[in-house]
Amino acid sequence: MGEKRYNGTPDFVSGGVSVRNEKDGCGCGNPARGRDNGRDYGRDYGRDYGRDYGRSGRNENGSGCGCGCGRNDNNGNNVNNGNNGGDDNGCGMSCNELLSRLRELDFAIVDVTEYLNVYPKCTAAREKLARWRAERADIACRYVKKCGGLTVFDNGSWPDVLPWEYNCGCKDRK
Amino acid sequence: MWIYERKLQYPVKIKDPNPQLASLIISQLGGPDGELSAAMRYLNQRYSMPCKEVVATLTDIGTEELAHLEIISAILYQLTRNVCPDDIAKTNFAPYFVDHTTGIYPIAASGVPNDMKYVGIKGDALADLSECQAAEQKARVTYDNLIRLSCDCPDVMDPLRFLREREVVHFQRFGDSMRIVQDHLDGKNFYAFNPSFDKIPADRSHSQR
Repeated sequence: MGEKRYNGTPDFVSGGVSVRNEKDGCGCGNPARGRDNGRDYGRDYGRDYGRDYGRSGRNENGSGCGCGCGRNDNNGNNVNNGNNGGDDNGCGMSCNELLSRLRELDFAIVDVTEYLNVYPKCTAAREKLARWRAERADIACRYVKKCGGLTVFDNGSWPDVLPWEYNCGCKDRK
Repeated sequence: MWIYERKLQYPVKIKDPNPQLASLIISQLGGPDGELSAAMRYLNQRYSMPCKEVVATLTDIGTEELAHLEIISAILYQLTRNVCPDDIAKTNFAPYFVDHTTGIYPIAASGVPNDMKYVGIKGDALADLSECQAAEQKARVTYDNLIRLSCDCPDVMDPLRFLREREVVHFQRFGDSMRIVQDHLDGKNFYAFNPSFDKIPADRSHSQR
């Protein structure tokens, strides 16, 4: 293994772990249940926790194509002008890009849902969950239209023997 | 019920097969601190929890453990895909190959098949949540060890890091759940009180505090 030998504790830790707002419990300023014990157990959705998994499709100024991909030209105009070379509702995103975005959103939704289980009144987390779920539904719809079903309930049946993407369910494997 | 989606929670794309490494990583499939045991533990413990928040947490984390189980299975499948028997014979994967070829069967790295003995379900919220927290820490240590042993395989180390991080987050969520349960119990006596059975009438509970 030589110089690649792994030593000590991995240099990655759970992202976004921070000290909770002792007054409110969840850190969003909302009076959720809180226990002022000074311990740190919360992924702090009430604050900017660094990795914005659920980055909005639209930019802050409201521009963007609105499909969730967040793509603009240099002038802030929508790149989805219908001349994107045969893209069928993918908004210029390939199947792999759509799937990657789905993964990001799914991870964020799972994470914030688990957080909301114990801090159900955290308004910041609930707002993020609503936003991410809306974007997730939009991206999933585009993926299904362009690349095939995500579940057996989607249009058509699964073409693959095995259901995972690396076994080539998608047309553009690049 | 569950609805299946044909994608992994985290992508697994391993270029080079490595049956030796598969013989180690399989412990997170069927080992004592593996994902299968975790899913069974949480999805069964949830019924005796006294608070809906904790039931929801166990349901969601138990479900996520099933997704992790699938990631581990995908890693094992790809590590042993298209490997010839001659190469397998040189590794510790050979005994497994004799019994299961390259099928995915939940055993520990030591070769012991998965067993519900690994799963503790006591029917007491504090006892079960303590076990949940300990299980997450033990799984985290197992991932630490696997990462140490897979440093030559970045394709494998990447999903292992993701899984390791999730163990840490789950430990935190169970810590939150533990405090919720403690908030609902008799503050002076919660270590000797099972809310599933020891239901104290309201008029008595006040006098006991």
